Amino acid sequence: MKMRASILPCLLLALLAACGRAPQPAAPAQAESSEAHHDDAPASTVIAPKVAAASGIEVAAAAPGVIADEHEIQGLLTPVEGRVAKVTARFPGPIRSLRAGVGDAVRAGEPLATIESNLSLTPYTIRAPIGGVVLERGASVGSVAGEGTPLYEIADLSELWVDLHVFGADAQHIRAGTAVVVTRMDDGAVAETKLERILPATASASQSTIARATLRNDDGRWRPGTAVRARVTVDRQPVAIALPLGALQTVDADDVVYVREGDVYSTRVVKLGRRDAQRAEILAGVKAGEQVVVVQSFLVKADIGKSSAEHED
Amino acid sequence: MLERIIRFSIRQRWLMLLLTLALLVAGAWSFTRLPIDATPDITNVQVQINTEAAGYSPLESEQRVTYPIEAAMAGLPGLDYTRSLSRYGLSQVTVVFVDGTDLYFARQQVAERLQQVRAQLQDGLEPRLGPVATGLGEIFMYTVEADPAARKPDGTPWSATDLRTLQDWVVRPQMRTTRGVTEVDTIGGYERQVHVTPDPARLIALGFTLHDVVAAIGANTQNVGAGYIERNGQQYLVRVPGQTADAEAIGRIVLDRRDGMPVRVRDVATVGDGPELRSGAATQNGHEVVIGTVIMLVGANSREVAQAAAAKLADANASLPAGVRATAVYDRTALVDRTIRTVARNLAEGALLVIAVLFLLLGNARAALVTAAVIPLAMLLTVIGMLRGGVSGNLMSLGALDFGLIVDGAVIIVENCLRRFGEQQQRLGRTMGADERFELAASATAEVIRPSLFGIGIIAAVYLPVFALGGVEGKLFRPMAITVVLALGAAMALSLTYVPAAIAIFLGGRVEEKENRLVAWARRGYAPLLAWSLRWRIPVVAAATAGVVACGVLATRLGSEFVPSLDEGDLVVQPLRIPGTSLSQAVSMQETLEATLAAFPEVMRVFSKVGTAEVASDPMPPSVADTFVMLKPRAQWPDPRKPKSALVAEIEAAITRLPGNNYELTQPIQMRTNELISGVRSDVAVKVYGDDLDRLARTAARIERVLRAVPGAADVRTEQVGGLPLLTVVPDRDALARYGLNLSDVQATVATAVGGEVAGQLFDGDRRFDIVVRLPEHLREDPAALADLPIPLPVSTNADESSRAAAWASGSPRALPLREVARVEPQLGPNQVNRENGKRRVVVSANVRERDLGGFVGELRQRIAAEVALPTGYWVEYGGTFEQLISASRRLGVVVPVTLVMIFGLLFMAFGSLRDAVVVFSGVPLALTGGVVALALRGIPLSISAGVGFIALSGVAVLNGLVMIAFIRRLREQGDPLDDAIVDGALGRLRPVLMTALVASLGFLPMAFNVGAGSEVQRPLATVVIGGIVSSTLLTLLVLPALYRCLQRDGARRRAGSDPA
Repeated sequence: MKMRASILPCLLLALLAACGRAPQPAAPAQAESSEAHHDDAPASTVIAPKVAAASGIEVAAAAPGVIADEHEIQGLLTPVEGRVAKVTARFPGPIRSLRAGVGDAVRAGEPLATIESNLSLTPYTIRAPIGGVVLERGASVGSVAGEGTPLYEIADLSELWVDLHVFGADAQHIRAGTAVVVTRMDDGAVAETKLERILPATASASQSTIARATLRNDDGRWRPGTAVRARVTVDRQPVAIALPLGALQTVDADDVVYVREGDVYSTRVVKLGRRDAQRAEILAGVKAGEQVVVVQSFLVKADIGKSSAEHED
Repeated sequence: MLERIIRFSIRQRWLMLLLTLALLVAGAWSFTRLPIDATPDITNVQVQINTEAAGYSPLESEQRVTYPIEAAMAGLPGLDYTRSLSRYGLSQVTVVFVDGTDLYFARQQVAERLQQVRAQLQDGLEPRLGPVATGLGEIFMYTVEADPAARKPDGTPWSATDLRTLQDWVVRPQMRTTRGVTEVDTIGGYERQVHVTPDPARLIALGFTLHDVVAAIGANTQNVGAGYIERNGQQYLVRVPGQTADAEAIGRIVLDRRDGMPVRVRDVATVGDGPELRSGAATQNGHEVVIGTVIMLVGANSREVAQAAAAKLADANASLPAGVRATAVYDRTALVDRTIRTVARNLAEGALLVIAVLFLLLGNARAALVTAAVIPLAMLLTVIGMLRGGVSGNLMSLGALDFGLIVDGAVIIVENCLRRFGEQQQRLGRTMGADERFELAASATAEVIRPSLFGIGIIAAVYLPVFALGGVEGKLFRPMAITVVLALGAAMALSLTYVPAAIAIFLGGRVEEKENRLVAWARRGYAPLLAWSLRWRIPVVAAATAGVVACGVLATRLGSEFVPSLDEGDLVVQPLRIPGTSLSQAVSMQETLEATLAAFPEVMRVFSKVGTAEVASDPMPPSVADTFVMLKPRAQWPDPRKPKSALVAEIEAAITRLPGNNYELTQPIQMRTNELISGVRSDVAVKVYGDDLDRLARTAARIERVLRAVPGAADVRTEQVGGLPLLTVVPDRDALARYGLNLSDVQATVATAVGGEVAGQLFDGDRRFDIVVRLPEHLREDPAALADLPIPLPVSTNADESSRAAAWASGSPRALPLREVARVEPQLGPNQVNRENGKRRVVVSANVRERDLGGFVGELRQRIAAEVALPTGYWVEYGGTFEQLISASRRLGVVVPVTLVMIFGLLFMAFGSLRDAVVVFSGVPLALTGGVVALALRGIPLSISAGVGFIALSGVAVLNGLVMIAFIRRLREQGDPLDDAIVDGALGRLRPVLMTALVASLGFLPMAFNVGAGSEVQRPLATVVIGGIVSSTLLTLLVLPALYRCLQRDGARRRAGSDPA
């Protein structure tokens, strides 16, 4: 009897205590995550081809490529020194005629102005020293031109200088001969040229140096004084293996890519070399010809790392 | 005393009926007022403080926002604890108060403290209290979506931004005014913003900075009021409007005048609508939508509010342009209705079964009706009590109510009256007069009232341990216990008043009281069995004892589970992705997931919320999404009887194949409640507190290793804190000095360029949109372009000799690229910073398998103390459900024996005899055997539901035993010899015992095989009761008399050893 009576409390206790147990979270992930802890994170996952296709995963063979080191630099168009001429009066005297206006194209030797010399009291003609376009007219008819008064400024704008402001480290590795793509900001017109020289001095206030290129002004719309955008290709290097940046992911501070073998996608820690806006050089970790995930590589990373994903609030 | 009440009720029978009628009305009225919800509310009293800190990384938001707020909350009255999380752009501090604190009081306290903190926060940071809602608050959700073919007046399709604008300015304002709604939360689409995106090259060319653009726009987009003037008795208000009306007007704003030419915003920047930097998105069936969530005020009636919201939505739809509609996608009404239907069906079936059983066994329709009427009456009385006691109607509180059990008392009374009436008529040979009848009714009722009242009292007493439960279990099951006790109390009151009065009134005239064939047949079968059992009483009792022991062993073999999760009818799939997953990546992964889910024939609709909504009450990172899977009504399933668990398993199998997602499967209410309670949900948690996140992580990793090595540990995991990719712009202070730049110049430029800066607002009627200045998208998103970001150089005014150097025709540059003064580096940073009680913490948690929790925790403590050296200033605390478990076990360890003693005391009071009390008491373990066997046969684990079944069962067993022993004793008092009294008593009580058993078990039959709403609560309960009643009836009829016989003969010898305590 005693035993029987004591069974009830035991049963009830067991029962109620059992009921008080924690809810086992419904997450199926629990078991998984305890096996696959981050210390020994699994390095690969299996994704069926159909699922991979539906999720947009794409692979490409690792192959040689070219890495171009490019920089976007601001610059300004200026007339080429030596192709700008200032026309001045040789002898003082009243200006009798001015034959060219601002914007007129003049040929070398073309008469530009007539001045009556105060010394000889005879008019003499001033001719254009170079062919070009009149940029500025500094006098008017009837006024007296003093000795050395600039009458015209003529510039040959068939070629312009592009002065690019190069800062710090760039000044060290940008060299004459580097290809430059210059873009006009207002209409986006593009011209290609090469750097001619890096000027020797540095402006102390901005710590910048000028890299200069010459630009052919064929359409006449490149105007001195205009700010332009230039893309300088500092370097073009063919490399043994180049992968699109979309293939790269970072895991625990390591750069990795994902290589497909059959349906198995495995993590490869890679050593990166140079990189540009589109591609990166792979120094080690992947061999040429291996199938590397280039689109939706994040999805592969997510799948491998999913066991560590949890609800955090 | 009891008899006097009964006699009074019979004398004032019409008054009693009138009172009953009044009760009916009051109950019906209460029923309309009773807050009805699907599940009980288990949210604690908490106030959330959300602060949006645009652009702050987790560390910054912790340092600048979370910490001061948290510090200010210390020492609030009624404070239980605080916890916080700091994420990208968001700080959330949750202040939890002890249970029972008034929510509005708590909010006021928090708001007062917040007032003090404001001064310490940076400008523009606005801490806000979360909505006044609980886990049950999200009652209604709708999508705003456009017909793919629909076009705006200008011929373009509706974009996500347009939909969001309609939601923000047309739908939401209407929904917010719905009664009982505290907040309407929006997620998805893009908030419309006017983006001014300057081209950095043009800015440099013209010598402007990003800040110049911001300042110019700010200075040209404001209205100014200038008071009023009086003129000829009339008052004129003076205003100077300056608001810009559209993007074009913004483009015309002048930045500067150079050489007589105005330089306008449009000369350096593109102005147009752009997408905000959003923190959350919403999708439905694979495409982006906007989702509105209606959040109900605490304590409102969810059904009413959801219905009102649905009606409001229909109104709002009328004001939407053609081709755009707002569709309800989640409506709590459906769930609540299903709950009500379940309860209503129980009620109806219970009544029908009682009537049928009574009619079959008593052969008297009127008596059957009188008894059956107790069901709705008790129900309404219960509802009145629930309303007064603040218990809401839900699956838990109403779902487990069985009226078959509750009418047992009334059944016994009516049966006894009927039998006595029949006997009296036979003796008199005529129908009784009214007075005779009243007298007999009173004495017949009084005869059984004590046992049946005691029975009811005992059933109520068995529920006491449930009241002792604390925490979540307490919140879940206390309403159930309260409801059952209320219902029992109501039934008790009715047995004393209404039942005798109704018997007196309605059972007049010739009473049809005949042994029908069924009972006669049962009695013929029972008599020899009883005789056999009495003859072999020792072996019978021994066999029963053996059975009890065997079942006790069996019970330990049954699995156990916590509360069976209440089936809400819908599912939530929460895909968890690695930290750092971007929102657009998550949205595209969501598309695949939704397509997979929608392919199931049972699924009606799939929609998801990715990331954090506008009201950040659930701050999820973009790597987590709530995917709501709405199921079709069962009737439309290919197999309507397919258990939900099977469907869930199929869904899980299908979605596990998708790459990159880990899942948690829950249900809408369950999920929301979990988010709010958000405690540690595993058995044991080691919380490591400290300062440095890295050291915390390392310490946690060491603790994890120790924890893994403790035998019994399972599911060991460390809370993840790191893994968020950061792009850090590390300023080079030397370089800054060289250029004469301030650090803040760099910071401000990067912040404006990438994150954008609000320069003003654009008004369009009531609607207002931010004007944001930031870099064009193609430059923002490219780290290489970020390195080229021009930083304006200060204008040098004091040029000295050394600055002469190079003066070129092209001048010197006015800006320099960012890479000259800072390094842009990708890094991994903390994903979020968790704090508890004002200190950073990392949790290492584990579940315990096949080992007792206490021992496990003891060993763990010892080993951690011995093996893990904590850095100074770091400490560990132990938490987890083991605390509740231990405290619950301790509490139950006291309460259960006390309850048993109380029951025994009640029995002793009823009989005044220890022996008899022991005999009746023995019915309890005997009854439990059947329940255990039934559970084992159906493979259902032990749960609190099953526990409640056992409790109910003990009540019924005691009730039957009580009535039978009381009857036998009466016969013996009349002078019958022991054996005759036992046989006659047992045979005489055959009918009521069978009746109560049938009523209770048949009433539970549909529940036991139910797969619909509430079935997970009811199935274990019903299974236990059916199994138990079969065994209990057999045992009451066969073992009890045998035991009684045993004890009576050698009672004196065994009394000493019979004390059960």
